[in-house]
Amino acid sequence: MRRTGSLAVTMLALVGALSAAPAVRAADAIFNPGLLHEFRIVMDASDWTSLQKDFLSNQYYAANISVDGEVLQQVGLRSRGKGSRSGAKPGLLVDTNKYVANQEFHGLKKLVLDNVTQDGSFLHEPLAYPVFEAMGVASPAISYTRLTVNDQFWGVYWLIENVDKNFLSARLGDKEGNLFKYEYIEDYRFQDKGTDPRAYFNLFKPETHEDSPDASALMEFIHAANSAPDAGFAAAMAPYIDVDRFLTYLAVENAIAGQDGFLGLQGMNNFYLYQFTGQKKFVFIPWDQDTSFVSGTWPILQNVDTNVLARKLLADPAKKQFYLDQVKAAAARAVNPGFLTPRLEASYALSRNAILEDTKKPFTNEQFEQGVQGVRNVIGARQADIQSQAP
Amino acid sequence: MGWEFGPGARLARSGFEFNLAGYIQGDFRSFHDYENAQGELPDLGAESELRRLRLGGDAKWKRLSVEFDFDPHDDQEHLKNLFADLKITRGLHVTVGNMKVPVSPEWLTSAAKTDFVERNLVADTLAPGRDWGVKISGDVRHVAYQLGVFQGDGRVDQSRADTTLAGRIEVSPIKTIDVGVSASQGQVNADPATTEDPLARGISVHAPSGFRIYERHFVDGTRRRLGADARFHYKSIGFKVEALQMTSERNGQGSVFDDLPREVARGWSLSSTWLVTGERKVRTIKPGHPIHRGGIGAIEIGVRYDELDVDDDGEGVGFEGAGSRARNIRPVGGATLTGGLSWWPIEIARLYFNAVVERYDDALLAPVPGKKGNYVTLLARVQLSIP
Repeated sequence: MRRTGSLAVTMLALVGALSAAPAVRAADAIFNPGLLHEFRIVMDASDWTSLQKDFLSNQYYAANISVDGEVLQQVGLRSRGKGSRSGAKPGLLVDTNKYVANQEFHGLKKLVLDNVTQDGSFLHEPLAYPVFEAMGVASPAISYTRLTVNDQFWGVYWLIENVDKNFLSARLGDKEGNLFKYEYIEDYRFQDKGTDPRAYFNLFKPETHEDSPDASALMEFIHAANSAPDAGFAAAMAPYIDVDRFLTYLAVENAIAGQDGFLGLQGMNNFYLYQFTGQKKFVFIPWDQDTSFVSGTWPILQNVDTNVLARKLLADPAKKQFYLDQVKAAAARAVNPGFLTPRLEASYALSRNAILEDTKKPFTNEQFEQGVQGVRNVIGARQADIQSQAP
Repeated sequence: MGWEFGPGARLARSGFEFNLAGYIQGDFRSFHDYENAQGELPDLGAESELRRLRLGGDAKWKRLSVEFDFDPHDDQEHLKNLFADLKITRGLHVTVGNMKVPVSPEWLTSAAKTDFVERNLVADTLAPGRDWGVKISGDVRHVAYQLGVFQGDGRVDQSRADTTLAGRIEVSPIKTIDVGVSASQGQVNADPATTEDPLARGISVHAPSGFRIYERHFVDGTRRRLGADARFHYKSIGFKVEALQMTSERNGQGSVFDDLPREVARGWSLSSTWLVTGERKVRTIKPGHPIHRGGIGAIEIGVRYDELDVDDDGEGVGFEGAGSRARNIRPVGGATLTGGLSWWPIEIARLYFNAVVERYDDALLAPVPGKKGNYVTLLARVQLSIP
C-alpha cells in the first residue's frame, strides 16, 4: 500500500516535471521526453555490417527509418561521434536529404542517435539540457529511444536534435549566419591563433556556408579577447557576445558539474558557436553534455582562470558577481532535487527495462544502476555544495 | 596576303590557311514548380550565367590541319580541343590530340549548333567526354567511320575510365538519312580501398533544370557503351533519334568489398525541328533574309522528348537503396519534354527560347519530395559567334 502511494506521488511529480518542459520541445512528438520512442532502421544488411566495421568512416548508407511508426524513406545514415565512436554500438547521424532533396522529418533535416557509450547512467545529457533551458540558454531537444536495425534490437539511444539551420531558426530566430561546431583537437582555451583562417577552421568547423566559410568575425572576436585590456574588457566583448548570456552559459556548466564543456578540464569542448546574420555577435550553444553531473562537489569557478575569455571577464568584480549570482540562480531554479529528481525518475522509469535489455551498451546492468544512484547522489548534494561556495 | 575579315577572320598564303573561331553564350533560367512548402528550392542551375566562352581556330596546310579551342571561363576544363588531323585519303584520316570521344552524334555536335539550349539527356549524361587519343576516320562511299583509342572517356570527368576504345559507323543509304551505331569500352578503376575519402566514379545524372536525378555510385571494372542513332533531314525539316546504354561493373564496390550487380543506364531521345522561314536544315544555319537586309532572320521551332533510367542488372532482392554502394539500386528515371524556338536575326547571332517539362514519377525522388509529376523550366540563351 505504501509502495503504491509512493509510486503515485512519483508519477504525479513526473507528469508535473514533463509538462514543465519547454513548449517548443514538448510540441515535437519525436522529442517527447515522456515516451520511450521506437526508432527502426531498415537497410542493406551488408551496409550495416560495413558501418559497424568502418565506424571511423563518415561513409553514408541509404536506409529507411521509422520513428514511432512514422516512416521516412531513403535517408542517409552514417557513423558519428568523437570519443564515443563505436562499432559495437554505433552512434548514428541521420541526414534526411542526403539522397532526397529537401526531405524533412518533423521539420528536421538531421537527427542524432547518440549511442550513450560514455554515460553509464544514461541520464547526464537528458538532465543537463533542461537546466540550460531553465536558465534561458537554447539547447537541443533530447529523448530516449529503442533502436532496431533490420528488426534486431541495438539498444537504447538518445535521440537528439541536431544543431543546424532548423534549430537556429526555431530557437534563435536567425539561420543565415555562420555556425561553427567546436572540434576538440588540442588543449585550447581561446588563445589567439594568428591570422591564418585555417588555424581557426581546424577548431571551429563551419557547419553553414561550408563552400565559402568566413572566419573573419570569429578571428576578430578571439583576437579582441586576447588583446583587450582587463579594464573595460566586458565592454570590449560586447560587440561579439551578450556578456551576461555567456556568463550564464558558463555558470550552468559549473553548476551541473560539467567537466568537458567550454571550461573543460582538458580545454574547450562540446559547443556550437553561432554568428548572427550580418553581425559580429556570437552565441554559444551547448552540445554533448554526457559528462556533466560528475560530482556533487564541484568548484563553481572550475577552470575559469585557465580560459582567456572567462578569466578576463571574471576579472571584472561586477561580472564575477553576476556570474556567481547566475550559479546560485541555476541552483535555485534547476540544479536541485525539486527540478531534477522528477526528471531523473521519469527517465529512469521510462528507459530502465530497455536499458537492462541493451546488451550492446559498454556497461553492465549493475554499473547502470550504480550510475543512476550516483546521479541521484550528485543531485542530492549539488545545491548545498553551490550554496556553500556562494552563500 | 594578310588577314581577311569577311564572314570570319582568315589568314591565307601559299596553301596555308588559318581561321579564327569562337562563340559566347549567356543563359537565363526560370524555375517553376520546384519550391517546397517552406519556399526552399533544391540545388538547381544558376538563374543566369555566362555559359561558354570559346576561343580557337584551325590551321590547314596541304593535308594537315590543326584545330584548337579553349574556354577561359570554364574552370574545370580550359582546354577543349587540340588535335592534328592528317588526311591520307578521303577514306582515311589520322587524328591525334585531345578531342571528343566518338560515340553520341549529339555530343559530337558543337554546343553552338545544337537544336536546343541543352543537349539531350542521353548525350549529356551517358556520352563520353573529350580525351587524349588517336583516331582514324573517313568516308567511304555512303559509310563514314571513326575509330580511336583514348587515354580515358572524359579527361576532366570524375567518372573517367582508363584507356578507352571507341568508335562509330554512320551509313547514309540515301542523301536525307543517316543511320549510326556506336560503342565504347574502357576500364574504370575505383580509388583504392585504403583511400580516406574515395570518389565514386559512376555517372551523375542532372536534368536540364540542374536538379540531380541520380548520385554517383562506386564502380570498378569494365564500362561499356552501346548506341544507335538516326537522322532524317529534308529541306527545312529534321528528325533525330538516339539511344544509348551504358553499363559499369561494380567489382568489389559493396560496402563489405563484395561484388555488386552492374549499374545500367539507358536512355533515348527523339526530336524534330522545322525551319519555318524555309532555310535548309544543315549543320550551320544561315538566315536567308537576315534583318540587316530587311528580313526577319531565320526561325526554327522544335520539340524533343528524352527518357533516361538507371538501375542495376541484379535480381532486385533486398533493400532497394539510393546509397552509392547499394547492392540493389533504387531505380531512378527522368523524362523531359522540350519545346524550343531559335531565332537567327543574322548569321552570327542566335537567340534560343526553350520550355522544358521534366517529369518525375517517383514521388520520393522528385525535386519536391512527395510531389510527383511535371516541373517546368524556362530557358533562354543569347549566342554570338565568329562564323
